[in-house]
Amino acid sequence: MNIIESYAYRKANSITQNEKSIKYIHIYTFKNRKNTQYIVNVEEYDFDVFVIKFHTKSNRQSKNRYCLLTHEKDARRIIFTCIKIGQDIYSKNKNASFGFIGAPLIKEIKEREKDAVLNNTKRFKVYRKFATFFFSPDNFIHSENVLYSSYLLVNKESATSNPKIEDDIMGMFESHFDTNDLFCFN
Amino acid sequence: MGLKLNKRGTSKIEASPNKKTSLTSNTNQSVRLSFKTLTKEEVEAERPRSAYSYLI
Repeated sequence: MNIIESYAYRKANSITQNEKSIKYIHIYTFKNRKNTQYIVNVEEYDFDVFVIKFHTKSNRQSKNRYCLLTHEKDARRIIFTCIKIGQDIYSKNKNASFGFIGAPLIKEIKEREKDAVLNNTKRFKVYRKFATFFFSPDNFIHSENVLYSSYLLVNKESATSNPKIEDDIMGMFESHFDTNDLFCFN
Repeated sequence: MGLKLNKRGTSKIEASPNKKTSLTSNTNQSVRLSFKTLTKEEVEAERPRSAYSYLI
């Protein structure tokens, strides 16, 4: 994997959330080389956990916005831009932990049985490679759930001050996890 | 890369000695989530030897 250049992004807004555990949604935006505008939603949860999601602005109204492909052959740079946003967050909060889910492709949704839709998706495999490539195991505990294509990067600095943080974070997600609507289909 | 989190019933965490943390929800669909923690060696094994240093 060669060094990748990120796109120039800007923070557009931060929205306070009233739901339990989720505190803010930080909204970032950038345009790629094809002038497609992307929206990056960074959800900030308890325990300084940040879950990064992105979709194109043009698909923002679609229930499948996290599953759609643009076919612009630009995934690496777009994903790297999201990682740079994560790095920016980490530079301001050294206790930051991160999480992501690899949403299924429409093709995977159509081809798979309902119960297997989320299992080890193509996006998960790609995002996992980025996680292991860019996030040092000296700074983050890497944990994965292949069945739900989910990945957690738990901050080791936080783990020093709170040895239970892995369980705390996973418990927080689990108690709010809606596996029937993981990608906001409903 | 989407995740929607909703409150669904009560839950408990079961930590097993092999460094897996299992998450069990007692909702009526009996969801069980289990995160496997990768060792440093497993993480490093995913990277090419020529890779430059980690970003974070």
